[in-house]
Amino acid sequence: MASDDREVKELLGRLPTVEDGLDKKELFEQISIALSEDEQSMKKKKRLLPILSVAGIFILIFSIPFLLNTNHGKMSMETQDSANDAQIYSGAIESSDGTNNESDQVESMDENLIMDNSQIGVIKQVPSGRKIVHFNIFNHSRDYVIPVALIVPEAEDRDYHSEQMKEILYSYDLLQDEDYIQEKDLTDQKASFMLYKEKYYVSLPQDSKTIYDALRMLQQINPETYLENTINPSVDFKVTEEGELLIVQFEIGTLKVEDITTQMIDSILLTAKSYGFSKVQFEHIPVEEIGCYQFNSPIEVPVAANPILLQ
Amino acid sequence: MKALFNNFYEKYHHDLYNFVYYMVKNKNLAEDLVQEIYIRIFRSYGSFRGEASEKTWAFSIARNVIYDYFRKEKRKRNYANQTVDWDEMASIVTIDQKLPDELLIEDEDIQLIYRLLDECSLNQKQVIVLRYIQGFTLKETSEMLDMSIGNVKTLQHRGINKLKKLYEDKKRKGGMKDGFR
Repeated sequence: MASDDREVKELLGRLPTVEDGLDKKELFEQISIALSEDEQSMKKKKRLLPILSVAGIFILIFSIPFLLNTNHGKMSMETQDSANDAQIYSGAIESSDGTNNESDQVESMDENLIMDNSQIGVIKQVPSGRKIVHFNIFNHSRDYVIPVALIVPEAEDRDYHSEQMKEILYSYDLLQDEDYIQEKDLTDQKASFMLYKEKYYVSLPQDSKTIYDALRMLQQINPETYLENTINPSVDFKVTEEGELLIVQFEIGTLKVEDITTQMIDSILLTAKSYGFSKVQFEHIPVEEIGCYQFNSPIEVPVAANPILLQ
Repeated sequence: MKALFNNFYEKYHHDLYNFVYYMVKNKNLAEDLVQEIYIRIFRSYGSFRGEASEKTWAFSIARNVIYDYFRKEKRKRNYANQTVDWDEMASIVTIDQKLPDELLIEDEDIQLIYRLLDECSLNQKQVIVLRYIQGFTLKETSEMLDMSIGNVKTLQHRGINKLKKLYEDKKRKGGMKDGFR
């Protein structure tokens, strides 16, 4: 199998460098023309400033869910090297203050939206002044659920079954059919958390199984579905329960550095939470940390998977 | 502005173009998208505070331009009432692609792997392109894609596995002579 990997990688490495047909000077001229047209159109747009400001706020509201997903991703996955992220994301937020032009504002939010769309995450704690409303999206055969944690202002009491809510879920490609959405907190129902389309955590109910069986489920490969395993099938481990602490001890030598991902840790923590554990201790793990997870002490389970912030 | 353009062009143009090209596999389209990347670089250079490297920043813009393009294509499809999965987009926009001259002289296995790239999801594909075609390190790739190294490893593992399986299947069935082309 390893040699096959090598063959594919070697073939990829032999793909040629492609030369473009762009003349440097011509390219510069085209860019200059485009930028100057941009300036002209911005002057015209100034008259529409009030209207566009409202539109900008509207877009900001709808983009914040994605921002949270990312910020949360940073919270749970990356504590170091956040300068790059801060540059990219804070740039977008600042541009919404109204000092820059509207098209830049819309564009910046748009960029955040895309980047966030490629990320998945968990939320470690509820921000102050906010509460979580849980939604669950079922697949047609109802054998798995995508839990969504909608984070709303604490005082908010509007009807979250609104069309607006559904639109947001549609925009995430999460909702295909309104009959398959349910508002209910299922975070304490025993389940295994796998990956769905590489973007979201999906919950597979495991009522009759032990935590060990539920974690083993994370290694299963389901080529027929969009579900993806988060633990490499070749990894061996055992579990010990000490009250609300779950100890996951990996068999030495079976867990390789390249197997360890934040998704693996997230999914183990989410699965443990659903079985009532508050902390998980990882043992015989061949790295000291990944993202913000440090393995020298028990790690608290997150509050929920797939968070979305709504203003 | 010219000095800024020269700086980016000399340092990153080649890598940016190849990244964009292998993501969309269409020379004319890649040229248009590269132009858009430069436009966005100039528009927002004032807000670039140097906390990320220029290269990381330029690639994050490139990635956004590519994703914008795919998303627009998806919207068009949806507007025409064609249900399309996001992960299928890479193959949708390259249906009528032609092989670049550089590939015409290469052997069939390389052409096969080139075609199979479109079977990967966009996220897998961008990691494969940066890691194995352009030869960037895990750390560089994670910075350019604004992903954790763990995410990059996962995507690269899944992408390579997918390519390996498809490559083996195609080879077993006789390469590209089974109508794959």
